[in-house]
Amino acid sequence: MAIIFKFVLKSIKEKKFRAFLILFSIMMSSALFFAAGAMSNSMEKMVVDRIRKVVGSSEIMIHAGSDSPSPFVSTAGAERFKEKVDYAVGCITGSAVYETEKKEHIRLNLYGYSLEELQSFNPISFSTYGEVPFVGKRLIVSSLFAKENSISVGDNITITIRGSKHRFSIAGIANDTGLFTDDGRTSAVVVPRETLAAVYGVKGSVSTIFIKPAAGEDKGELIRGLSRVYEKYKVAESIPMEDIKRETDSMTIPFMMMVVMVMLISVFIIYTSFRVITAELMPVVGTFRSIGATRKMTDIVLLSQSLIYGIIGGALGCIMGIGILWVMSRMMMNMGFNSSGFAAAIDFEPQQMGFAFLSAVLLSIVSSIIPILKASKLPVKDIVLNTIERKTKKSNWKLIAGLMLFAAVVTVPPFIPREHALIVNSAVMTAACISIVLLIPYITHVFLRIFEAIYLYVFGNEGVLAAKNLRDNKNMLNNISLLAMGISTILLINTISFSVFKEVTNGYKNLNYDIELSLKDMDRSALASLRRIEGVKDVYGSYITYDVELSDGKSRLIALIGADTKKHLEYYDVGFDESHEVLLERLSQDRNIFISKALQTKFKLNEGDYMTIKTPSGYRDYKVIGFFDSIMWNGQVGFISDKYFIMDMKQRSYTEILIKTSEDVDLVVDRIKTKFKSTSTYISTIRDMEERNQNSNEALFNIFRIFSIMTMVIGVFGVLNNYAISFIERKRGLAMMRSMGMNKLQTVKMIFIEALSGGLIGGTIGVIMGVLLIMTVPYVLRAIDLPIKIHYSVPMLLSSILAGVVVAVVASISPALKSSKFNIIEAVKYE
Amino acid sequence: MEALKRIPITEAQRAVIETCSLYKTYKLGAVDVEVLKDINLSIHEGEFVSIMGPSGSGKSTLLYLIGGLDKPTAGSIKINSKELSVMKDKEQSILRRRDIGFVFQFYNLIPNLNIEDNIMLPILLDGKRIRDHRKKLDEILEVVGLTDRRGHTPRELSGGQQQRVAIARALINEPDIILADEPIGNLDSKTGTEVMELLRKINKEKGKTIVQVTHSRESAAYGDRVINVKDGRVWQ
Repeated sequence: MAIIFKFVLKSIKEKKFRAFLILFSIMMSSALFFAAGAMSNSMEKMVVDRIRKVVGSSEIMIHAGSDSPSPFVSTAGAERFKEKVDYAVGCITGSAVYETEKKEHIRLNLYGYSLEELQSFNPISFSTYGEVPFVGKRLIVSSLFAKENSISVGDNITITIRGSKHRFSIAGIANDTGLFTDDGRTSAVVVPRETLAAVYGVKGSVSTIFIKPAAGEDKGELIRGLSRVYEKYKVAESIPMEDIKRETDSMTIPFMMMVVMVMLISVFIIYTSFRVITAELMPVVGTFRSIGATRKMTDIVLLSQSLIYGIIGGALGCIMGIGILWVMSRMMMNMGFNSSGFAAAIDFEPQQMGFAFLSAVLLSIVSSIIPILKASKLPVKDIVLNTIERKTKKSNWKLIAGLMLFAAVVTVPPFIPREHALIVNSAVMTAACISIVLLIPYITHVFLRIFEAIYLYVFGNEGVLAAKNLRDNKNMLNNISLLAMGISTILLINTISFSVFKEVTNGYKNLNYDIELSLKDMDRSALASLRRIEGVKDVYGSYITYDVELSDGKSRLIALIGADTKKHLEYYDVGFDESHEVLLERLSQDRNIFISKALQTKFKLNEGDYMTIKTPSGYRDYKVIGFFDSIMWNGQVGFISDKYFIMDMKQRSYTEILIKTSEDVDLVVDRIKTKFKSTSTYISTIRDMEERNQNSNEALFNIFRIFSIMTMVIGVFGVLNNYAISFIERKRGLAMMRSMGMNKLQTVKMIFIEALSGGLIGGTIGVIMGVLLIMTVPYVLRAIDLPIKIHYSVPMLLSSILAGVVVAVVASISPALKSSKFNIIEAVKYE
Repeated sequence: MEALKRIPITEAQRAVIETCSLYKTYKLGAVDVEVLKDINLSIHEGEFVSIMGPSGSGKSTLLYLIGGLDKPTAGSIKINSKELSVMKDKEQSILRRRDIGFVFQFYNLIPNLNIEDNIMLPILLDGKRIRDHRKKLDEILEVVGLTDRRGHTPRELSGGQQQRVAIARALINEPDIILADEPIGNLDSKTGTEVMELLRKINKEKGKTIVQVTHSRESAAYGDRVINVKDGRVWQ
């Protein structure tokens, strides 16, 4: 057995490039499999880390909701549960503004805590503390804030809360961690709770109560008990793990779909490599068999090679997977999963690594088993005498299976139920790839017929010869398959990215205003004071409620807008035509609603149907009177009239104020900031919002791009390997042609024309495969409530074909050069 | 063992192949191996010459040097009075296309091309149009007896049939010389006889000069003259 093992290792070592290629494809497959699986854990960890910054070690929190009688909640109710909890810490939150020496305004988030309680559930790590009791007009600030404003412990600073100036002394400076982590926009400040309660006039009440159940207490039961006491308030888990998991799991599926592509390519590479390996090892297998080795033993020789590749590739893949996961986490920070000041977090479970390793071993064995079993069935006499007959029988099963799969891929997606769309469409996409791979010999045949006719006039007889050489050339067909799979994956990602970019751009084009503003008190007087600011052309107070539950208790609208029927169209252009304007008037006449076309498809609603919305006043039926096309809020949006919005949603102040400007937008933003410097404001230009949105989308697609580029890289290595194999196999044919008078230049020309043809066919089939994959995307996106229209970019399609040509031609350089140097006699003389 | 003698080459007709003081040395690791030593011979138009000798004697090397597939270490080779050593790759290739036809032991057909395409390869390489040479193809297929197999691929033919295709391919450009390396070395005796009959027919009826390398005395007997090669030298 030791000799066999030694032999296996030696034969792996002898073919370094092939070993590298097999290991690389196995490694990448398992690495990406691991990263895609573990990504949801990492995303969860990042989200949880961010929430933990505020909620500390608590597990339950109580705070006011939109229908609560007050924004503050009494701590008395929680006192009744003191036997069942480790702690119940009250916190008063607020905001303030600090004016720097340079007259800049820094927004401060105020947290009113008892320091002792805070240290028990969300401890502060102090840089310095002034050894004074944390009572009265004292503050704890972050190190960054202290450094930027040259503040030390004991210094006094003045901050503005609700328009009044308050003077505080610095009690301590905290390290920039936990609550004090810098988010790049605001700065956290801890104030004694009683002091902040006095400022807000809410003695005995807090904004939030953080609770940790005592050991052995059932959290669910405690939440139910607290909900009964605080029935007008929100009692919920501090970290809504179910929601987070749902969100992050839905992100995993598209990545897994990419992994399927990577694995398909790897299967292809390993399968073709093992066909060559078994052919090469046949004489040795024959020798083993002739000296008494059983078929089982020779199978073990071949399988152990596959197993070694699987084990090494799997181990390397797990290590690389951690690296990829880390890179992905870094990239996720740019797409809103985290904010500045946090390190990219990676988190995974040991079994995920185990599965990745197992996937590598399985991938290697499954991909190599067919060539190994085929070799195993050969009669020992034929192996020893090298009289193995090659099958020449042509069968059409590939054509029939390919066409049937193709037909299924085109026709099935519209009929897939929404709830199964993600999983079934993943299978459809895999089937699309398999169907094209099965059809590649036939499509190639058609292409070659055309090329043969054209090449005579373009490249002369060498062109015709090149086209003839490609007929039934297995290596070239493999190359075409690899190129097609790699190109289609990149095309898929780039087309979706391009479509999202275009849709988002179009979405923002529909917003006919320049600035969005949030103020503490957004009422008619705020609109009036904004109108007085120089450069403000017009303002519109918009009512919006987010995350609105529908009657089934499961479905939700991302946003419900209360529209001012007179002004709404001036600010939102969502494709209403004139008749819609009339319809808009009808909004105010009754409980009527316009919904997006995405919602219309999702809920299969027609005009006149009713949509039941859960409001603070109970369930309300709204009659659907029209539809509009919009990508904003992912198309999960509806409009009702502001009159019924105020009535049903019990919301009197605007959610946001939309501003049209007549001067430079940035200048107007500065003026608004100055005007409202003493109150907390959120202000953003539409231009900045669009940029942030596009950047966030781009960050997501960059992660997908890593996967697609890896797919292409594996494909390119496969193509290089095939060219190397092809050259070895064709050496004899090339030598024969040289013996018949083909000169070196003609040989090189022929090889390049072959590569060009292979690249053209590979690129074109890649585009066909890509389009087939892209066709299923709208159904996948619709299933995750993202009604993105697909936009094809002709330059992108053409550059995909060009990419195929470039890869093939570059890969053929080495064989072309070798073809003019090899020993003709050796090549023609020996079998 | 029979005493080996050097043979003088007689000059009856125009010499189509001439070698003068031909040497060929290969490097085998650090050692130089002299495969051919001072080879001087003439082969005349219409001759059917068999080169015989034991394995490793240098007979195939001599054939490939004559065919311009390898370069001599020293000496000259003339084909139809044209000196090979001064020719560039392109000129040598043209010579191989038009003046020489090769037949190999293992046929060396392109497996994914059909019989017609395999035979027409030299036409393609010479930049000629296939459709202009259809008649010629029909004639040659008739000569080699494969008219009914023209659309088949090499895999679908027997060894003897494949060698006939190789002979047809060697003839399509109507070269003066056919160089055959063990043409029946891979065939059974019956098929081998058929192939040798075909070569003799081509030699007699078409007047082609044929030089074959062979191990077999029966095969050599089809020729007009035998050249023995041993230890890199030509003997009679």
